[in-house]
Amino acid sequence: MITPRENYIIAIHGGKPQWIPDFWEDTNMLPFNKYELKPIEDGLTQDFFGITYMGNMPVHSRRPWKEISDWRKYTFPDLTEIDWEAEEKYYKEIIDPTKLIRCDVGGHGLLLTLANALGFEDALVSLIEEDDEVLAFLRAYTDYMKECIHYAAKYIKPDEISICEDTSNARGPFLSKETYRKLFRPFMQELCDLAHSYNMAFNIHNCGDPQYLFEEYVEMGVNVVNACNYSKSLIEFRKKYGPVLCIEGGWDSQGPCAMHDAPEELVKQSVRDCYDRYAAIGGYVTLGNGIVVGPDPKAMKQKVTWCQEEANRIRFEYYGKKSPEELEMLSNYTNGVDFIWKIMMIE
Amino acid sequence: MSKLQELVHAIENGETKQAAGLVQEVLDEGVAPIDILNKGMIEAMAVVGEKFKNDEIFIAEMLVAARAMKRGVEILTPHLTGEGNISRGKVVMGTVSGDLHDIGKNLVTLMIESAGFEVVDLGVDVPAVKFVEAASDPEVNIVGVSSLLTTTMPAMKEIVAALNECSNRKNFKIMVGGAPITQEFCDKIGADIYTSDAGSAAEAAVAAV
Repeated sequence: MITPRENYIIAIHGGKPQWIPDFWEDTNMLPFNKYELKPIEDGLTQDFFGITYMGNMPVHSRRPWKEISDWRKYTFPDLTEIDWEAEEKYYKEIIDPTKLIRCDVGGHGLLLTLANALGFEDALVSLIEEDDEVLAFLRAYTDYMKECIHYAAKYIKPDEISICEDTSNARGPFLSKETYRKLFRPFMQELCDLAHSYNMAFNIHNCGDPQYLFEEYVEMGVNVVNACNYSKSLIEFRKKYGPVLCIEGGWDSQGPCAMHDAPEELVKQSVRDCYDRYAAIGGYVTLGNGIVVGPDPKAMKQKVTWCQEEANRIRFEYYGKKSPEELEMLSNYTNGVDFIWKIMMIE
Repeated sequence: MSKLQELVHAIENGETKQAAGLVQEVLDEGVAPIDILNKGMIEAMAVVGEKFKNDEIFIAEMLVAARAMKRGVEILTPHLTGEGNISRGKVVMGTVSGDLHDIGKNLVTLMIESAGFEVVDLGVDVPAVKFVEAASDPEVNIVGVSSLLTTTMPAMKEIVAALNECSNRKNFKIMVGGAPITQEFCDKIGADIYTSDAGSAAEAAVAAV
């Protein structure tokens, strides 16, 4: 029997795996920002652009830049100062080789870094009014990210490079396709090509609905789109192109199952709905966290539990019957809700 | 192309510097300030709102147009003195308690301002009592309540319930919006107006007063 890692790799390259991989259970998640964030007071952290974070969220009252050109005041981390041989040893110790190795590069990504530093409105306006300076920033940041990928490839050896690209909200794009093509696509293409040159898959994370860019992604050779809200056009896209872009998630983050008081059966139905919509043709990974938001951690964890219970009830035999021994082995690969919850809280 | 048409074009395309200069040029041509506002700038923003609604432009493009409009209005405002009350009405806007997202609310604010309304922006994470207090102003025509998160929809319900208890409730309409909000939810919680985007919100505001 193949390992969850081998199974996952089939899915991210658009194939039909032996069972539906699980984003949380079947991966080693290795964020590169461990080299980029430094702790400051009160449990806050700060990145090298001066952006202050509480957990994963920027502290809006501490936006560091007044204008886009302020990025020039900051210095990218010097990756040559890191003891990479020691890091390699560390990763060898912590990585589970039976699970996919994913390396998240570039923190919050090109657009969201601008938004976190300047504020969302000023960042979006700068794309149009100060596009030359935006391009200079994107050039410099992409060059740094490429350096990160080189080091990751050499010392972490991931199966996949994941980059955040929040170009959309839940209802649609922040910017036009033309603006994306002019400003972001060339740089994302460079990052994608570099990942491929090391035989690593390229994963784009978008919290919103990036479907207006799917055809761009196909042209660029992107392998995976992560989180990815449900919409009818996503179904149409899969019908038209097949599993060429692997989908991780696809939940309806604005639907009834995302409500804070969504009952167990509705949450479990959302798992079945996603599998019915996307999984049959392959190129699909289960990831239900798009519906797990809210102020009450207990309720959130309950939703994760329901999602995982239903996912694990179905996903192992979705593409074919397994023997009791195989099912036991697959079950042994899972770490459980407490493990997932811990990662979600860190992420 | 007349200077007024050039101004319309500049606002539609978010050309802030040109818009400001063109307002002055149109004024110099002797066009009445109120006509520049109504026939030029507000109509330009109506076109922008329509394009946004039809997915021809997106948030970034809409923001630059709204900023061009705002800059133009700054130039125009001193010349509007004596033209009478040019405001279409007063709108209170805020994002519900527990929700710190402001971009949707800010977009609606920009579009409603661009449609000729005065807007009182209560900000984000606004409790029901603040909405009720703002709505007690007899000049308020519309109270806009925004929520981005599914988890803050109950807060929207509470705020609308509190507004519905106001003694001056008949004086204002309640408008709701945000990513998870639907017409069905609007009806269920007793709000008056739901729109799915900022351009439609401005249109609905004009229709409501």
